[in-house]
Amino acid sequence: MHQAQPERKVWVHRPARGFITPLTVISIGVIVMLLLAALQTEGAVFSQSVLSALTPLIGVMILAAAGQALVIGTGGIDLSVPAAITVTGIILTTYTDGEAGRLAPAIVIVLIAVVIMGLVNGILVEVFGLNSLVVTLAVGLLAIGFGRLYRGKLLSVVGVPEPLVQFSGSNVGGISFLLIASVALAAIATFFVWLTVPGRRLVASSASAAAGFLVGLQASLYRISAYAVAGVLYGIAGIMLAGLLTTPDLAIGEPYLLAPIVAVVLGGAVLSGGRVSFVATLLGALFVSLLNLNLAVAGFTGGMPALVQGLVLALGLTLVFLLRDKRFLSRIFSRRPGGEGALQGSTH
Amino acid sequence: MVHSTSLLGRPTKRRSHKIAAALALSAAASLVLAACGSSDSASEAPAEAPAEAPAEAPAEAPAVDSGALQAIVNQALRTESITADSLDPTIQSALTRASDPLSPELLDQALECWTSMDCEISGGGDVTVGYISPEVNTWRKVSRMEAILQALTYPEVGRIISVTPEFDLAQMQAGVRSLAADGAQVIVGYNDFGAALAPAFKQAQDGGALVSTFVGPAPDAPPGSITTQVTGDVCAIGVEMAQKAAELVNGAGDIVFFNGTPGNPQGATWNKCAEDELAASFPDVKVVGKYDTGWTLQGAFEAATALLASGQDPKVVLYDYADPMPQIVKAYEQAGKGSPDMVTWTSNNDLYRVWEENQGKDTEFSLADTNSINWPARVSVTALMDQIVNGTPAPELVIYPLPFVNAAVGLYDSNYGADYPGPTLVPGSVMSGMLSGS
Repeated sequence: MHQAQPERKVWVHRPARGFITPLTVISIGVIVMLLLAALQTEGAVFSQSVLSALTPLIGVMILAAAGQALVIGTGGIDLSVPAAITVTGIILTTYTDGEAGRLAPAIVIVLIAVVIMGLVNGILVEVFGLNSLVVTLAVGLLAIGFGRLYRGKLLSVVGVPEPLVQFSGSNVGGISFLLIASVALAAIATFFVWLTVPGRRLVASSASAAAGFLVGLQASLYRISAYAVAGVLYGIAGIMLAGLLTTPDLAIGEPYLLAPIVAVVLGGAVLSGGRVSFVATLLGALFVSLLNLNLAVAGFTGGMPALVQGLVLALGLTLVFLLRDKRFLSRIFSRRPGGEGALQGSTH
Repeated sequence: MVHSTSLLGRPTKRRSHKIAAALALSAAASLVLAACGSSDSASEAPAEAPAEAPAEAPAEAPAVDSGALQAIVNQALRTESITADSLDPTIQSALTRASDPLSPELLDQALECWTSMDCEISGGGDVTVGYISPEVNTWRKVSRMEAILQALTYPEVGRIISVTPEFDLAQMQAGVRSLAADGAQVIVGYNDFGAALAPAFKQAQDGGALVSTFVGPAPDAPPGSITTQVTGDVCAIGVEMAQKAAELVNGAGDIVFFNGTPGNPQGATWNKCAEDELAASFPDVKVVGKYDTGWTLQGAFEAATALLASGQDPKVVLYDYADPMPQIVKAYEQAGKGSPDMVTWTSNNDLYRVWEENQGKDTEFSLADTNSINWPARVSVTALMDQIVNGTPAPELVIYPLPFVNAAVGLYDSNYGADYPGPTLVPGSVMSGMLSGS
């Protein structure tokens, strides 16, 4: 009976660690951020007027983070997000010239362009084995270069067609259509990844290309397609953002270099690849947006917001590592003074 | 170093070699003087250059027509409240030249130089003018055109080279070096990087070029690195912003500051001077918040959203960049509210559009902005060219006034894009050519 005690001890620990997952942690984080926002603004943050201004940008951030999550799921990091969003803005303004009739073909061109960007990224990383950071940065620069050449020297119209502006600005009870669409997309993506054969194959191929290949999957193809789908998500984010801001400029994508990565990491993704939770990513994006809002409302300027964001990222990474690597946690516990006996003691 | 610069000049321009050599010799002489212990000689080194100016007689500066000068001063500053003779002499010289219309051939030449990045001026002289700035927006493109048009007022200018690196210090440094190596005797540019770019400028000046920057100040640039800085008095502008805000709230009310990149020195300076002015002269005008925008459209939208969420109800937003300000109106529109009044540096076509659209509605707001501040590029060119051509020593610092002017209906121009920087000194025909991409 006494010899069975250690087994029971391990079993006792599991439920606690199983409950404290990255998803629960980020959920708590979002709740804390919401409470902070409510306290700071005396509830004004939940008013229809504030929500209608706040939620569209959260929707855009979720889309960009969802795309980044797909790439991070393959073990890569996509630094071409700002370029994809900027190029989207360039195409929408330059091709449409502000005419509503040209909006639909412009959107098709945007989607083709971002898929090409994604495919080039994916092929260079997966087929040629190049580093994703370098590849996506280079492809982003190429895209920006092409975009600027296409845009030309100066434009007489630097605005997107009115229907897009109307759509991007519309909301239901203050909740932006962009946010609703983003949440729906996260739900669909979750369904796809968990409950469909291609989705499961994508996850299997992302987690380990070698293992995927050994079980007969066309792992590289799936991994490349992750980059292409990510490109589509960036494109949609760019379209929505251009509509919201009305006059997209050449810096429109800049804020989306690091923030989506932070959102994905806070959502519990492992940078070395594997299954990514889109719901957790959505919450990560929400957390990042609310954190920025809280810092701004609190009056933090200068270096303080960057300091806090860096701190949150570092803590988030550490937490995700600790929660993922249960063996590491076990080793931490087992190294406590008294070793095994102390651990036993802690369970009683 | 001096010789290599000369040798790297374009071989097709025989006379430019002579000038480069002359400039190099004078620069070398200055360096010798500096080595002999004259503490001021480093900053004065470029002033030695005109002694070796081209052998040909310099072209006469346009005769000063005080009426025409005042008219172009009014156009540049968008106000009639500042007299021409109160301005720095270099500004007067630059605007006197700018008031003299260029021939249609030279206007065509300007478009060619703006498009091709490297152009020879047919019938021009031996001086090569270099221009450098990241062209991240339309404001920068228009500024380059202002510099080109000003350079073309000098028949001594035979070539204009432009370099438009990415927004990156290393690329800017390389760009300055490439201009110097390519034989530019005059280098004019927008300096985004303050003193960090000074070593590259110093290297170019040591090689015989003269450097002038406009708008963006670099107060801590070491002597001898930049011959002339053309800039505004940031603190005085902050004081003016405070006074304008106090006027808009009738001496009592809440206001907020919007800033660009967190902690940027320009923002810190005008913020402090505006606050000091408010504390001293308008104690009932309270600064209830400061928000960073990162200079981006989205940043301004987010900052306005945070302002809305804060529950504060400021009467005026003060900012040092007009381009993102329509996003404040947009965020308030999203929230179903009218925007606060605005006081901002620079001007922007889209801001005029949204301001005009809201006139006469419940969401009407007041707007006080400045001129587009593109024309100081012309002053940079003139400061250096007058030294080379006429021997007029280039001043180390040229301060321009930046008066705030209440917006008036008619400023929005539907022929131009949202990011058009507002009224400039670029002729309409040239601007049309720029828009058509010719």
